[in-house]
Amino acid sequence: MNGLSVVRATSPVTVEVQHQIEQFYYFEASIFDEWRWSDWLELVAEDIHYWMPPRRNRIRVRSFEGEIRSGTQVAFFDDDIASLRLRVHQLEQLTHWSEAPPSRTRHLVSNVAVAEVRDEDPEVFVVRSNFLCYRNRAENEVDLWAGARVDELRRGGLHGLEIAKRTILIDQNVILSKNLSVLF
Amino acid sequence: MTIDHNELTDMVDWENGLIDPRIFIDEDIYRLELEKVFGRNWLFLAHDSMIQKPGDFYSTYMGPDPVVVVRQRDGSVRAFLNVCRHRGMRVCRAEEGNAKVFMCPYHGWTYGTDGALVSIPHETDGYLNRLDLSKNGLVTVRVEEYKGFYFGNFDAAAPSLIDFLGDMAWYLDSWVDHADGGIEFLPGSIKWTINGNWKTAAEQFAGDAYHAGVSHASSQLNPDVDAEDVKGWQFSSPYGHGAGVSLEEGVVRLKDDPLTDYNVARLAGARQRFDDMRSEIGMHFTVFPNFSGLGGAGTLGVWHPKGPNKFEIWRYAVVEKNAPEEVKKLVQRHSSFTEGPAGTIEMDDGENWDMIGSLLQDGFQARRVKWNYQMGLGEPLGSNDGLRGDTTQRFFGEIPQRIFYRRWLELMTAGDEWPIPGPLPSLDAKK
Repeated sequence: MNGLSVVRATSPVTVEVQHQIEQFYYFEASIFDEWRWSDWLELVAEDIHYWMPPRRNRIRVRSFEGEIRSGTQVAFFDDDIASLRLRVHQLEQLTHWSEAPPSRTRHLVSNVAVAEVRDEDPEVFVVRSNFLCYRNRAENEVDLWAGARVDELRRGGLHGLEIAKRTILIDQNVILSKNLSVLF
Repeated sequence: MTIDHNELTDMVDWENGLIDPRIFIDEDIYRLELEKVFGRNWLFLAHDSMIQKPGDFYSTYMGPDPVVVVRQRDGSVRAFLNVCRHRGMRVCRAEEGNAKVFMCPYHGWTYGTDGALVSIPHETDGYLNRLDLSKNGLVTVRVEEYKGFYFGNFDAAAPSLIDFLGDMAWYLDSWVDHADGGIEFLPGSIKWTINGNWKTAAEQFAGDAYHAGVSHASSQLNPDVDAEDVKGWQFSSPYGHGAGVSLEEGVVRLKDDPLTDYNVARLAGARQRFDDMRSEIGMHFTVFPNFSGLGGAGTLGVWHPKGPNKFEIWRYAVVEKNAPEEVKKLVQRHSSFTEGPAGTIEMDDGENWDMIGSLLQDGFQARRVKWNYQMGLGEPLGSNDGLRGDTTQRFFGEIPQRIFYRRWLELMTAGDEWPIPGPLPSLDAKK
């Protein structure tokens, strides 16, 4: 699996591209935190694969590639554009009780590193970033999720870049929350 | 610990459908439950397909206690309490894998995959060769299997798994044998946490079709289960198992996706295999106490208690073994979409179970309000053509829940002898 680890300390892209990618992520985070779910679909490519696999407790495994299984397996999220649209539709329903009242989230994105730009496809950036998502909901519900995202960002779309692939590595084995009713 | 039996009986007035919510929050009742319910019943461990080769193991829980389930060299399956005999440390910390031995990380006591203690450091210069290794193997759990489902039991006096399942086995068959070649579990499991009581989830899968129309109103693939004309039945077992059964054609959760062709062909095959209603039905069910599933949606799960007001949900995706890879992938994607903490259906269950837990945790008055389980009170249980065991003729009702708590009470107030349940009431009426 490409890009789960960043293998070099120097960036393969210019400062300008790096800046553009970071601004794109900050824009996305504000969309999440402001419940503008339909706007988020505009950042997503038609052929997106949006995937959050479970993190397994293995004893002798010391790499993400070894820990994250390939092939058909259960996942927290395993979405294409059609199912993401259904998720957004649900988020907008007033009868979606786990988001009524809605979660107050703060998506923090950091450690944005372009891991790879392939010679044959210079318009695609494999980007690894870290996230910390704080959620507070209703009166006193609190959740904290940390993790990494490995994206393939492609030039295009309404905002200059679009998410063609996203793998979310959430840093929990047993999810410590009653749901994952927000997006990452 | 002693809890007055009369008090428990007052709390669980299943005949009149009134349940005292203290059974969902009280610490003493919970500790007794671990002994009387989780200590004596068959608990789901693993499916055949999860541990295929010798040395393959899977770590799970029986009640709150960790157990490791291991495929043996002779093909059989054994299970052990995952607790070192020396100082009680957890011997296996991986959730799955293949092992030749299990070595405790504290002092290095090492156990074979058959649970036997095979080596200890300083056996000669520390133990003077006087420790009898054969008396210090891992504590063995009784294991029995039904059609690839391995269950464990801590109680040697419990009846066999097949007797315990009783008529419930027939309902499991309707799923497991629906396609030629049976089922398998897809790799991996989805685990998450609810700050609530495990019984609120177990009883829901036993008999609560009622919640779906409201709780899951926002999930697009949910069928119109609140429609008045859903044809269905509820099944109750004296052992506490329960199921809601409906005609699969009416509850095809997959009706709008590309699986339809496959499902139509599968249904035709099942009609040749079965000469009764097993070919026709989809269901939600709970095998008492904490193993539940949704046939048709390909999802199975266990409610692992972590305290009176906390449980973990461990959820698996189930596919037909001989289905094309493309179909398996679609079932998995559908399962990821609807079930689990991010599932468009299941996340709204978490909202209910967790907030109820919070009310009971903090509340004083909230613990004094008896919960109402009176739906379908007076509805007779009887036999219905083409079905097995004691059933009603409605899809909506709370009979399986009342029978769940009838059995729970029977176990909680039982003495030393393993309590064989008495027959269910109202068996006379066939409508």
